[in-house]
Amino acid sequence: MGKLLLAAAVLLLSTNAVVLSGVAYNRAGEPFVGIDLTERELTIAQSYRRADENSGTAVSLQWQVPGADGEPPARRYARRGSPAWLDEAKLSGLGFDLTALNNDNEHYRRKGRMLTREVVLVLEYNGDTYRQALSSAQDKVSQFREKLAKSPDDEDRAKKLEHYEKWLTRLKVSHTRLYVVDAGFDKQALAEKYADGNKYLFMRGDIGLRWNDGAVTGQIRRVHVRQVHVPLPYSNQLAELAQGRRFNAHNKDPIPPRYRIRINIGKRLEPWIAAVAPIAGGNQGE
Amino acid sequence: MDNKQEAQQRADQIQSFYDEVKLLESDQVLQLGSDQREAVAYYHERLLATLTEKFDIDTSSRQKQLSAGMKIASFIGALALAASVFFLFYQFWGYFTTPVQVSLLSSAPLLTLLLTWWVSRREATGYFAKLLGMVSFACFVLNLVMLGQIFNITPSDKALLAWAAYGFILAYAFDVRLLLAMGILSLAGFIAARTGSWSGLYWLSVGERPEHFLLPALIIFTVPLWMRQQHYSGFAPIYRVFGCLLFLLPVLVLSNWGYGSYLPWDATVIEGAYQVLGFVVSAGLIALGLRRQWPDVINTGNAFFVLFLYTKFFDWWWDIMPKYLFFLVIALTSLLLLFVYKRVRLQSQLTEDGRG
Repeated sequence: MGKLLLAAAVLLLSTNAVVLSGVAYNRAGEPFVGIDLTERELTIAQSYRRADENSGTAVSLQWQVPGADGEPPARRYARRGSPAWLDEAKLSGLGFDLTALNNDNEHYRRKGRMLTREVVLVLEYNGDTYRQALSSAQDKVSQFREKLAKSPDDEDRAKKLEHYEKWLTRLKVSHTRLYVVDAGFDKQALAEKYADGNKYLFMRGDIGLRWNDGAVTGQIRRVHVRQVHVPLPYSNQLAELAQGRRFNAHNKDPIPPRYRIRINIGKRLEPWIAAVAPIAGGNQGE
Repeated sequence: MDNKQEAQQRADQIQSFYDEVKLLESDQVLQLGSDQREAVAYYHERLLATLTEKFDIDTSSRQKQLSAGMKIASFIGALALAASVFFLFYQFWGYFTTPVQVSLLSSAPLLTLLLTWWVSRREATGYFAKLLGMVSFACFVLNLVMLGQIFNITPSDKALLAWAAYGFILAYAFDVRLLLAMGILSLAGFIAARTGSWSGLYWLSVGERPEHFLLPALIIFTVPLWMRQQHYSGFAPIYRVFGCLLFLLPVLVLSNWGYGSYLPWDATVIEGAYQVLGFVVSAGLIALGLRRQWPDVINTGNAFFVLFLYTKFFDWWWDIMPKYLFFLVIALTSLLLLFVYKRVRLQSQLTEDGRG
């Protein structure tokens, strides 16, 4: 028993040492990327159960993909859509054999949906993609206003206008401005390509396949680290700023973001929170 | 005598011997002389004392009943205490700073390991040590899960390997079958996740491809064949049963859901192939169990054979038959199985008589 006990103790100590040295390596020196995000991109993760017995605090990373056809995407498909940049050339570059998949469509339609590639995802914050989505929503609203002005009794158009106006407000006030804009295997090459320090975030994730009318398209399946732990004292700060009021981008009356979080990404592309600050008066532009 | 199970079997044999002698004497078939009686009693007394001291066996039926109760209490207690440790930490961890959280998480499995060892040296039955061993395992699972959450570490299947190693070490150190089962499940999860990632699957989605569990099932089933388990009570059956379960459960799933398979055939053909495989393997396991005298394998094979059969009946007849007829068919099939088993039993009895 003595040898087994020693082996158990060595296993416990060495496993903890490996895990903690990995953490130390990730956070050593200058962060790979440091970026300020708001409550729109990092919402407090809350349990929907009445009695939540978890005293820890975490924020969920909110991201979406740009609509493929320039339309503002319906909110429930915001993550599931196929972004335009994830085209055949990109998918082939990521190692998917599209010729084989397209040649034996019937077989792969079922089988291939579980195929994924682990990649480094590039998430753009408050950049051109967000502005395009905003401008596209604004154009839609203008179009429907013009149409409705011509035929004010058209209830269907009135409803659509209301829908797009709500969409535009959410896009301006509460929706995330974090869009996945690229993916690759080489984090260094991606960091050089997207060098603007306070605009791009790099996270590990998976790209998979989906079938649209028989055609194979790409899809962002998941970001591996979906929630970021909030340690003390930041968790107390967040609780104070949130005042128990749940932030939800899809609320009927969206509330503007109440805090800004400095998030660092380390050498292993694992994030951690470096600072939390209030946003004065819940600025809508934040 | 290598383990508690064998020692208990010997004690039961001695008890049966006295019961039989009593009957033979009352029927006046046998009369032991007082010298013989004393010599046998003296020998048995010494043997039982040695076995009790070494393995803490039950020497009476009352003791056996109490031991069964203790086993159940210890099993439930171990699971409940492990769950309690999880929820206790979740309830309060938010109030601690990161260094305190890390210290608590890293030291908890180590301290409970030391406590397990300390208790095992002081308490002969081993029930409390087994219970604490389970808590130590739960602390180690919590340790890695929570460090992953605190430091936002990318989820990795390597944690399963560490848990498997710790489960196996604790199981062999303190002779705990529950921890052996935990070790086996973690190891099977690791092998399945790793082979899944090699095939382009995200490791946490490995459940969507049940075929990845077939290889670990075969490895686990064969462990007692190349690693002798005679010093550990009931370890070999645990390996065999979990090997069977890890093989037959994926086969059962695939026999109803062909889309989850890698095979390049139509889903209906795949389902048919797995149904046949399910019947063949469960029947084969029954035969193997009878041949090698492995009751655990016979029972698992039996259970799955019936399960495959009833699943098929459900597929064929549930929609087209009135319910009374469907259940009547099930009942008649059970009766048929009873006749088959009775015949097999009789044949085996005749073979044994012939040998005798």
